[in-house]
Amino acid sequence: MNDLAIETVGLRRSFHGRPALAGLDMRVPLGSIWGFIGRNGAGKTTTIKILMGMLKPDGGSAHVLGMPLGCLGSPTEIRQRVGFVTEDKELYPYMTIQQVLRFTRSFFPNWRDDLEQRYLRMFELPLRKKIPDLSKGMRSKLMLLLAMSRGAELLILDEPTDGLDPVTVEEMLRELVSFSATEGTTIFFSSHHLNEVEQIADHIMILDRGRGVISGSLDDLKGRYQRVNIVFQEEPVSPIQWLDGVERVTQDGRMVSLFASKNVTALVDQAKSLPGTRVELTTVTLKEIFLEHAREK
Amino acid sequence: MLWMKAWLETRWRFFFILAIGLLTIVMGEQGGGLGSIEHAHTLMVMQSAVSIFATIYLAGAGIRTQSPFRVKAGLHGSTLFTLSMPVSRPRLLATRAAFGLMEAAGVVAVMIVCAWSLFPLVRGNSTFIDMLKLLLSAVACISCFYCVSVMVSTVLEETWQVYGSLCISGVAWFASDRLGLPSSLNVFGFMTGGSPLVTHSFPLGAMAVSLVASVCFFLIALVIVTTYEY
Repeated sequence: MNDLAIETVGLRRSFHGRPALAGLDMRVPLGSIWGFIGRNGAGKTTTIKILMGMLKPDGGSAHVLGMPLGCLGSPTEIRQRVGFVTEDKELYPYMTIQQVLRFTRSFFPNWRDDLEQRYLRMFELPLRKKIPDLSKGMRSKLMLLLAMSRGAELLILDEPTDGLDPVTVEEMLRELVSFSATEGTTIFFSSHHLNEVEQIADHIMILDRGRGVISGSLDDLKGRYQRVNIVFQEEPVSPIQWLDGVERVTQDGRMVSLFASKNVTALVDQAKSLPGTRVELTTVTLKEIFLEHAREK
Repeated sequence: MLWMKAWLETRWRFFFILAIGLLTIVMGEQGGGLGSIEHAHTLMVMQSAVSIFATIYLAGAGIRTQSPFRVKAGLHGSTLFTLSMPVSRPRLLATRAAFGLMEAAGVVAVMIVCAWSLFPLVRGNSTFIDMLKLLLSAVACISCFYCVSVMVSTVLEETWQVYGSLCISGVAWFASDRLGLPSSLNVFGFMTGGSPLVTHSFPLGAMAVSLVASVCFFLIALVIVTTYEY
C-alpha cells in the first residue's frame, strides 16, 4: 500500500515550446497539508490541471492516490476520490446554491450530508440564492463546501483564499486544518500567500520555473535554514571565503548576513574566529526561504 | 443530474427558439392563413430555416459551460468544475448533445403540429400519418446540422460556433441547390419538395444521408473532447 497521496516523477509540460514544468518530482504523503508555493507562472496551476486530468503531461509520470494518470480525463475513480477547488471559483451561472449541491451530490456516493449541513450553517450560505448573486467570498466557501462534503481522500485547492478578506481567510484556514485533522484528508493547496501556507501547511514545496527547488516538512526546512548575522567592527573590504553551506551572502555596511542551509555551527565558529565580530544566529521564516530561492539569480 | 444541468443551461434558449418557431406560424395565420401553394411553400422554407437555426442554437458548447441565454466569449470557469466531476468526457458530451437534440426535435414537432393543425391547406392535402412522417423525417434530417454544430462547439468558442455552424449549413444549402442534388438525397428537402406532406412517403435517402453524416460528425466530436485540453 502506497503511503503517498500524490507522486510525480520528472513531470514535464510545455506550452508553445516554453516549459511550464521542467521535470517535477514531488511526493505528497497521505494525511499531510501540503503547501505548493511559487511565483506567478511557476507551474502551480499546470501541475494541478495535470493531476486533475485536465492537461496531458509531455513526459514523466504521476500517480494520484496510487492510481496512474494517463491520458486526458483519465480515471474517473481519481475524481471520485478527490475534491477540487478551481482558481477562479466559478460555478454554473444558471443554478442556485441548492441546485449546485443537488447536482454535485449525485456524483458522489460517499457524499457527507452531515458535513454539508455543518458547512451550510457555518458559512451561512443561502440555498435559494443564484450563483451570480454570490460574492467571491461566498463562492469560495461554496466551492470549499462542495469539495469537503464529497467524502474525498484528497483535496486539491488552487489558490483557495485568493481575493478573500482577512476574516474569511482566517475562517477558511482554520476549517481546513480542522477538516484534515478530523477526516484524515490530505490537502494539497497552491498559494502565493506565504503567511497562510506557513500557518497551516506541515509540508511545502517551492516551485520555480517548473521545478521543485525545495520540498519537505516545514519544521525540517525551518530547522535546516538559518541566518547567521555577523557585525564587524569595520566594514570588511575583501570578500571572505565562507565554509560550505552558505546559500547567499548579503552585506549592509558593517553587517554581513549569511543564509545557510547546512554547517551552521561550523559557520558560526568561523565567524566568531574572525577578529572583532559579534555573531547572532536567527531562525528564518518561510518567506525568507522562499525569497532566497525564488528570486532571480 | 447531467440532464438537470442541461435543462437549466438551455431552457431560455429553448423557449426563445420555440417562440420564434411559433411566431412564423402566427405570422402565417395573421396573413389570412395559407391562401396558395406558394404561400405554404414560403412558410415551409421559413420553418426549415428556423429548424436548422434551432439545432445550431441548442447544440450547446460541447462539454464547456454555456451561458444561459446570451452568447459569450471565452471559457467559463465552471467548465473546470464540470471536468472535476467523476464523469467521462464522452458521457458529458453525449448527455448534453442528446438533451439539445431532444429540445430541437421538440421545437420542430411543435412547429409541424401547429402548421398542420392551423392551416386547412396543409391539412387538406395530407393525413395525420403524413404529418407524423414529416416529424420523424424532419428530426432525422436536422440531426446532421445539429451534429455539425456539436462538432464545431468542441473546438470553437460559443460566438464562433454559431457563426461557423451557420456558415457550414449555409454553404451546404447553397451547394445542394447549385449541384442539383437528387431530392431523395437532399437533407434540405424535408420541408419542401421532399416533404412527406407532398410525397406521402419518407425521404429515406435524405434521412439516411443525414443520419450517417450525424454519426460521423458526432464521432469526430467525441474524439476531439477526449483529446482537447480545456
